[in-house]
Amino acid sequence: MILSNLEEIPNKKIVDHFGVVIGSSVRSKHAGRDMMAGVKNFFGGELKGYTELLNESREQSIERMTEQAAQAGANAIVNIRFATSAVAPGAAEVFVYGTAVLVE
Amino acid sequence: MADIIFLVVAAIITFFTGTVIEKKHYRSIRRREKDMLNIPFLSTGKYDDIIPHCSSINIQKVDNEYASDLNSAELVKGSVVLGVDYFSTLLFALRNFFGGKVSVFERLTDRARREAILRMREDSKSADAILNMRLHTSEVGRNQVEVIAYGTAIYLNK
Repeated sequence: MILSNLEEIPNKKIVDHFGVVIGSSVRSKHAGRDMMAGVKNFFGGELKGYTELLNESREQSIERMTEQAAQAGANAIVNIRFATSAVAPGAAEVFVYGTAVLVE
Repeated sequence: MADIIFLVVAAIITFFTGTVIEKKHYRSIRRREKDMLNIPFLSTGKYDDIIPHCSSINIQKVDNEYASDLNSAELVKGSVVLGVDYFSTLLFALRNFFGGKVSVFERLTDRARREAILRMREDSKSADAILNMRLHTSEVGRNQVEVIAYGTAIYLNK
């Protein structure tokens, strides 16, 4: 599966469109991470636990989106966009969407 | 009374830790940005128009087609979550009362964006260029900001 946030895949011709595919994942920070992040937040700096958490979440969203595209018979996803939102205190939703296409 | 002493001590300690962490981060950002000066990254996706004008990419026009020199494309991304120290939140509370420029958060978002962009570029060091870069900022917690940078790395036929 070729992933790109361009409108097309360079050097390849799009022969079929399958519409929008979406993947999303909501993760909650667990108590250990939350406590460590609290300490880090006190002194300042990067909250590595959260960076990792959101990255894991993003990978899973991409996986779900890719599965959906594969089911439709696509071999590439173009025009991919990411978004993150805090749906509840301590939980973050990461979602990703794009257009599933078939390229030569 | 004990509360006030704790507050003052915490403010003094975090003033120093916050300043040191920020300075260290800026040094690291500047050094890594310098290392990658020669790899172009653009917020436009029109590679046909742009690539011929990038001096670092040396490609020839073949049959009026630049795109034919592109070998492959790949999604690259980088993200970071940054928080501010306790002293800065106190400063912000004060600033919020009087209004005006909040330089604490200006520097926070600046650091987060540059770090995210650097991680995106480091995600694919062998790429010839990164196109269609997008930045997305979100608030993940109180005084915590997440920035994600993503784009399409392109590789040329060599």
